[in-house]
Amino acid sequence: MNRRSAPIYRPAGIALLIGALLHAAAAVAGIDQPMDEATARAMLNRFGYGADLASLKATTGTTPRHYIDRAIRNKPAYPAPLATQLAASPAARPLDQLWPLYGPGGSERLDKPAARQPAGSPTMRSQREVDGRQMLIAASTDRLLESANSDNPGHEALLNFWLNHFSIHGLKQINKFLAADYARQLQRAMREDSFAALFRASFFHPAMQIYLDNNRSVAADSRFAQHAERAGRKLGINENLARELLELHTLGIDSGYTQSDVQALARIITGAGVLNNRLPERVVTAPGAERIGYFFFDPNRHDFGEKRLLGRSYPAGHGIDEIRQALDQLASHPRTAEHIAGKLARRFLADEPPPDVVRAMAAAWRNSGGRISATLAPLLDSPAFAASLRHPAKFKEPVDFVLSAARAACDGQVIGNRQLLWRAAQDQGQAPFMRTTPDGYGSQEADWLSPPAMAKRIRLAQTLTSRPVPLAIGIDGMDFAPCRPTIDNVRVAVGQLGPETRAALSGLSAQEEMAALLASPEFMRR
Amino acid sequence: MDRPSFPSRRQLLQAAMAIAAGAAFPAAFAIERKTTGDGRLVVIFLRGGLDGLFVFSPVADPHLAALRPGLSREVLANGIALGQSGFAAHPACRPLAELYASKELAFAPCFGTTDRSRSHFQAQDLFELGNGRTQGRQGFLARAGEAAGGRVRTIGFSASQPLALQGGDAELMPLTGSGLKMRNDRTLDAIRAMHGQQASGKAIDQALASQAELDRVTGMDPKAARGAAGVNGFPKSAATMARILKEQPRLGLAFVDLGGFDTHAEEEPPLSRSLPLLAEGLIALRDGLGPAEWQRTQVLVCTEFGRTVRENGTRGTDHGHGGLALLLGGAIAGGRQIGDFPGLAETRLNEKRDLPVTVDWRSLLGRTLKETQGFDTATLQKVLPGMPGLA
Repeated sequence: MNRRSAPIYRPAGIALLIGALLHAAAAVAGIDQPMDEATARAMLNRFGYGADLASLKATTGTTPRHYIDRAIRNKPAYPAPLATQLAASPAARPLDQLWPLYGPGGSERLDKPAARQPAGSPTMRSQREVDGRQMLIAASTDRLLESANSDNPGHEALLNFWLNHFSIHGLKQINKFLAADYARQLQRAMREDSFAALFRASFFHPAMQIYLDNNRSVAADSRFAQHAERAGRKLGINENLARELLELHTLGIDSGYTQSDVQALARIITGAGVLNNRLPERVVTAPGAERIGYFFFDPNRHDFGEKRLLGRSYPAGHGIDEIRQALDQLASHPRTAEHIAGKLARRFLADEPPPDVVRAMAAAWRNSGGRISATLAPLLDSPAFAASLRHPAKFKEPVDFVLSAARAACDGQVIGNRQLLWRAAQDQGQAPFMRTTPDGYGSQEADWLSPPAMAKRIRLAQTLTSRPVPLAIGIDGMDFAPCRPTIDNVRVAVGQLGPETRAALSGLSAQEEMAALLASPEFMRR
Repeated sequence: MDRPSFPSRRQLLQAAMAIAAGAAFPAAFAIERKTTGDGRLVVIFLRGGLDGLFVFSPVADPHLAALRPGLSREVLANGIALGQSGFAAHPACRPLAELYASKELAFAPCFGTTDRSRSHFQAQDLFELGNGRTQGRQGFLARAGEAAGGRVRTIGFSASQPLALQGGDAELMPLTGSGLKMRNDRTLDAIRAMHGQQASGKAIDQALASQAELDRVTGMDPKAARGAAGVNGFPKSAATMARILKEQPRLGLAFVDLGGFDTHAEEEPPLSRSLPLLAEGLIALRDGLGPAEWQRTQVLVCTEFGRTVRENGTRGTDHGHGGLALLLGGAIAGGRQIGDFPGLAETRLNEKRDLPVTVDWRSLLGRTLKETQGFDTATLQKVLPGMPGLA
């Protein structure tokens, strides 16, 4: 990249000025340049949920390459009292315990009333509904607490990106019990530094199969459908997941696939579904059947005919192996590289990223076989990224804002009040696992900047600074302690101010200034 | 672009302070004078792709029962005939059939966009941009608001800006959730000053103005003031919408969106729950507006696409093409079908699976904009480029 070519024919003064600017940019730009404090703060906002004294100290002096490699590969750690709380969370229960109870054919049936009815509920709730709701809120708030307190904020930001890319809706059927495990599986796949691994982890998880109805999709001429037809039930294909695999998860809209590709893919992925607890062992272990966790491929539901997907033919007679081939075909498709590179750049660089940066990212993707670190390298190394860290311009998404404001208010204290975070994230419209449609939450200013959004942000800034808010974790990991923000810490979190903001602050008390800073244009952007 | 009537920031601040102090409402927010002859368009956009054939079914078509063995059973047995149209309303939509009978409702069974992707997101973008493309910076209602000029204000009853309103100066007034309340103190003054004339600053000003209106309107209803128990559904918000629209005759363009119509599997139970709420809300809107306002109002209920004609293997329907649109109002030509319905024979279907589009969405939007806003052909072509003609 040719960014040092100062125009020498200009008058000397201007050339010198430009040279100085380029030099200043070069001092902090570049994937292998150690970050100064301002750059580190911006990085912690861009790939994370805000800076505080400790994270700023830990990040200053390291390089963007180190930051991102660590984000992808290292497991995060959480402060001891939070780790205790997370371990006790209902969502921490492994799927091996939950599936026999709540999975299809499980023992906690829908008609079994709850031992304790929730207060104010007009209708009788089943134990399963009560447990499910508790489990989903736990999964969602675990994600918020982990994002707020992680020693590896880049890891949380990237994981949240992928969870949103492969978005599921937690309220759909038994996904209430599966959301937490879905996050754990994507987290594991993320450490492989490969898009294909993430794609497979999502596809082969029961939560995705259930969310987009593929567990119910049956080839019309399969043994299962014929058996059902004799019993008077007509079964067939549901193309919901197939369409979104193409449109949202991989190639993207307008990338050349047709309705017949959607239908071919829907046929290829018939048989993919979830394990039923009552399925006899001989069916689970029958030839051609395959169990992956609680995902189950049932050859009796599969379409073994010949198919043609995106110009490639899939000969007759194949089962789950053709699903794997099709997933590979989609993951390695050149349009997938362009689609995901563009989406990463829009999330982590700008609403309208420079096309050359996106092109370089897509090329890096192709050259590396879809490695995420390689794809992000051209972005981190671009002058546009360096400039964007100097002048952060992307409007924060609601969760970015809520968590960074909480971190600024609680500087140093561990954030542990999941109820408060849940209410704030719900109110602002971006609670994890609560997006109903499979496109995931948007990342653009136009998606989020609105009068109600501004009102909510201002109200949160006012609330967090006007009185001690019980956001922090108590000593035993369970109780709450108040966060008492200080003006110095809030200033550290917000960073450099523009002249309008500085002027507007004059005459305010320290407490008023904290509220105004958390609602300032500078703090709304990352 | 500043509307002449739009209050200045100082007025807003005074208004907000007056409210905080419990004082009488300042003149800037007095009830507007009704300009005679002006109409109003309310667009209710059902996201997810409503299965129109479930709502209004072509019961006279010989193919219906075979194509939809499960989904047509109820309407074939208990549907409410819509005049001589050959269609019947699902029993869950009885109020809609009654509106049809009283000529306050017309329906287009094959309404839709030029979308070929069957993607929700692409089809919704196409619909809301209204420029015949899937890319653009300005929604069709934002352009309509510009074309109507200062005489008309545009409002969206939602918490976030829908694409249809982007690129204009529509107000947003969410009717659910925590709303627009902020504590009005020195901090807020400083925050407003910091954001200045940036997009975020304008959004803050608009939040203050809308909250002032909302306070005033809901303040008129003693039940709402007591905070009656919390069904935050459409019937309730439609009643609030009606009050606001009635109070503010210059709100001539309004947009509401409702979600939850993407019914891939087992669609009968959820639609049997949601359609009565939709119908109840439409009735609440009509009753809340009262006869005079209902006369000048047209309500267009529409969706991004219809669904497959055939029921799928899971008693639901997949993404299709032509879909149902409903036009309601006190002075519309109701009790009729808008546009052709070619029937369900396979040769008449789009790609052998969906209803074709016989009414381009711009044609019907154009008709309603012409009738409510008095737009001429040239203006309509600016608001809805590529509009093939009026429906």
